[in-house]
Amino acid sequence: MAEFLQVLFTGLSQGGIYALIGIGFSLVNMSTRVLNLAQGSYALLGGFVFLTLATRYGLPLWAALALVLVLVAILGVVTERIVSLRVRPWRPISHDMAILTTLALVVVAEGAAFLIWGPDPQRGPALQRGVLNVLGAILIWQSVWMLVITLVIAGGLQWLLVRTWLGRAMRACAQNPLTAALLGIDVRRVGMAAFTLSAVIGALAGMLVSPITWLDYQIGGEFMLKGVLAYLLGGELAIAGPLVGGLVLGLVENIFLLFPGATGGLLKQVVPMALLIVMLVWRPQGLLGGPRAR
Amino acid sequence: MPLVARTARITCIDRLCRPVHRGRGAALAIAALAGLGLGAAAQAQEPIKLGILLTHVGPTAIFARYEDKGARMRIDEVNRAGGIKGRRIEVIGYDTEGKPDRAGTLFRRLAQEDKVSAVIGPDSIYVLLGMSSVPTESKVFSMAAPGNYELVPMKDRQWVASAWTANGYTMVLGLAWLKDKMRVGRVGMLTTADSIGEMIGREASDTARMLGMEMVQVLAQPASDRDLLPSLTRLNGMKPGIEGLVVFGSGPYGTIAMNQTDLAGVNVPILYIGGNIIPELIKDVTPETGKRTFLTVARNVVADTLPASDPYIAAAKKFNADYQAKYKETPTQPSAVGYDMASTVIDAIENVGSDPVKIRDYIYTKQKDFPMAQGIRTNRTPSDAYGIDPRDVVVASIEGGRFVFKGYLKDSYKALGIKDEAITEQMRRFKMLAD
Repeated sequence: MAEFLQVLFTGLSQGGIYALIGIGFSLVNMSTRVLNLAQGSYALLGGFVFLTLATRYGLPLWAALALVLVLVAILGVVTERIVSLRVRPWRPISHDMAILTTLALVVVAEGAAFLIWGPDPQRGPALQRGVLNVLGAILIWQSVWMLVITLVIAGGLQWLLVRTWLGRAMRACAQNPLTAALLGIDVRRVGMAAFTLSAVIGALAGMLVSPITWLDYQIGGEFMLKGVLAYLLGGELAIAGPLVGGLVLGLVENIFLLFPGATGGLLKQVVPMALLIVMLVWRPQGLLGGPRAR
Repeated sequence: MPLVARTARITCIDRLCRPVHRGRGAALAIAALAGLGLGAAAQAQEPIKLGILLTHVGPTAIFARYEDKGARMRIDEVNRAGGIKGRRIEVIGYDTEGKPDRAGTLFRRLAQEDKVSAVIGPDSIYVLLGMSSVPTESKVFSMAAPGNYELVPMKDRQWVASAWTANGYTMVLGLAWLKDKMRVGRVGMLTTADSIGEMIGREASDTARMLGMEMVQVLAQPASDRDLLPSLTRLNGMKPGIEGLVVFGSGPYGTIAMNQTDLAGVNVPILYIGGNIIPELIKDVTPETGKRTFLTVARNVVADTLPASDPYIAAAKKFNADYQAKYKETPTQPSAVGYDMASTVIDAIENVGSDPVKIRDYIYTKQKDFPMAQGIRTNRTPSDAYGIDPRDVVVASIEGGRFVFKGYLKDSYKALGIKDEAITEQMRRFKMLAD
C-alpha cells in the first residue's frame, strides 16, 4: 500500500509540473496556433533568476518572485514580437517559421544559462521544507505546494477563458483569427497576452520545481519535451487538456516503478514516448479533445 | 611560420585552449629565431605537442575543470624545469562539449593536423564510448580518464588507457567494507536506469555474491529523476529488512538518493558509487546521511586524515600543497587524475621520446610501479589499462562537507579471506582485464 501511494504521490507531483508547462503551450497555441517551444526556457530562466535573487542577493522570496514574474513577462512579450515580426494582416504567421524561431530561442536561453550560471546543477529555495507522512508514504511539502499551485492556476485560467473578455477573445482567435480581427479584436495583442501569461506560468513552474529537481542549463529542453507531451496527450484548446495530460503522464511514468527490479526505471523512459505515438495515430485530438473536423 | 598560423586558428576555434596563447609565445620565439638564421637550432628545440581533450560542457564539466588544472600543473612543472631534454611542452586544448562525434573529429585533428605526441583525454566514458576507435585509427595514445573503462571495446584498448584509479569497479568493491566493518549481510541497491547503471548493478550483485552477502533487490530510476522515494520506499519495505544500501548515480541524483534515505526510513549504512567525489557535489549531503555514507576514494582526497604510516601520505600531501599554492583552491580527486594523466605521458616521453607509438609501448610495457598523485602505483599492461590493484584505495565517509579517511579497503578483503584469484577472475568477467 505504501509503495503504491508513494508512486501515486510522486506521479501526481511530477505530473503537476508537466501540466503547468503544458498549460503554457496550450494558452499560446489556442490564441496564435503557434507551438511555442520556448516554454521550457521560461522555466529555466525563471528558476535560475529566482534562485540567484533569493540565495545570492538575499531578496525575500516574495520580492524575488515578483521581480522574476515581471522579467519573464517581458521575455514573453519579446518572444511574441520576434515570432510576429513579419506578420501583417494580409500575411499570417508562418507556423513552421514560428516553431523554428522558438526552438532557436531554447538554444539561446540554454547558452545564456550556461554562460551566466555555469554547468553545475543548482537548487532554489523551497516554499516549505520538510515532509508529510501519509499511510507510510512520504509527501514532500514542496511537491504538495507544486500540485496545489498548479490546480489553482488551472482553475484561474479556466475562469479567465470562460468569464472574461480577454478569455473570450483568446478563444475567438483560436476559432478563426481573421473573423476575430474583423469583429474588432486586436489579434496581435491577444497573442501577446497569451505569450506573456504562458511565460509567467513557465517561470512559476521553474521556481517551484527547482528545490526538487535542481536546475542546470540543459533542463529547458527537458521541460519543453514533458510540457509538449502533456499538452498533446491531454488535448488542445482547453486548460483541462494539458492538466489531465500532465497528471496522466506523471502517473504513467511512475507506475512502472512498481515493476520488479530495474525494469520499471527503463520502462519509465520509453513508455511515455510510445504512448504519445499511439495517441497521435489513434487519437490525435488528445484525451479530452473533441473529434477533429475533416 | 605555419606553426604560428595554425596556433592562431586554433585560438579562434576554441575559447578553452588558453595554453595555446602561451604556446603562441613559444611559436613566435621559434619563428624569430628562424628569422635570425638559427633555423637548425630552433628545429632541434621544437616543442613537444600534447593534446588536451576534455569536456567543459554538460554534467561532467565539473570534473574537466579540475582535470584540466591538474594536467596543466604537471606540464607547467616540466616547462619551468626547462622542458624535456630542452624541449618545452606545448598544449593544444579542445573542448569535446560532451559530444562523441565532435571528440572524434577533434582527436583526429590533434593527431593528423596538430601532430601531437599523445592526447590527455577524453575524460567522460559517455564521450569516449562514441569515439574509442579513433585513437587506434590515428595511432596516437589517448591517456583518458573514464571511470568505467570496462565498457571500452577490447579492440580499442591498445591505444586508450584510464587514469581514474578510484573507478566504478573499485567503488563497487567497497561492499567488503560494509560487510567487514558494518556487519551488513543483506543489501539493496538503487541505480540509474541506463546502461552504466545496469552494469554497476550487475557488478555490485556479483561482488555481493563473492563476499557472501545477499543483494535483495536492484532498483533503477532514470538519472534525470529527482524524486527517488518510490524506489527507496520499496527497498524499505523489504522483509526481512535490508541492512545496507548501495547507491549509484552522480550529481543531484546521487545526493538526493542519499538524503532521501532519511525520509524513506532507510537508515542503514550506504555504499556510494558515482561521481560525487568533489566538495561541490557533496555540499548538500546532510550531516546525518554523510556519516553513514561510505565510498572508496583516492588517497589525495583524504590526505589530511590519512594515518601517518600510510606509504603515500607524503606524496599525496605534496601534491595537494602544490596544487593549493598554484590555484588557491582545494585539490580534488579529478585534480590528481588530471595530474596523473599528464604525468604518465610525460614520463613516457622522458624515457622514449615523442614518437606516439613508442609512448604507447612504453606505458603498456615498461612503465612499472609508476607513482600517481592519487596515491597508488600503476603497472599497466596490454590487458590491464588501469594497472592497479582495485582494492588498493581507501574508504572515506562524508563529514563536515569533506571526505574523511575511515580505513583501507585491502584490509577488509584480507579480513574476509577473499583470495586474489577471486578478484582477478571477477575482473576478467567484467572485462576490467582484457583476455
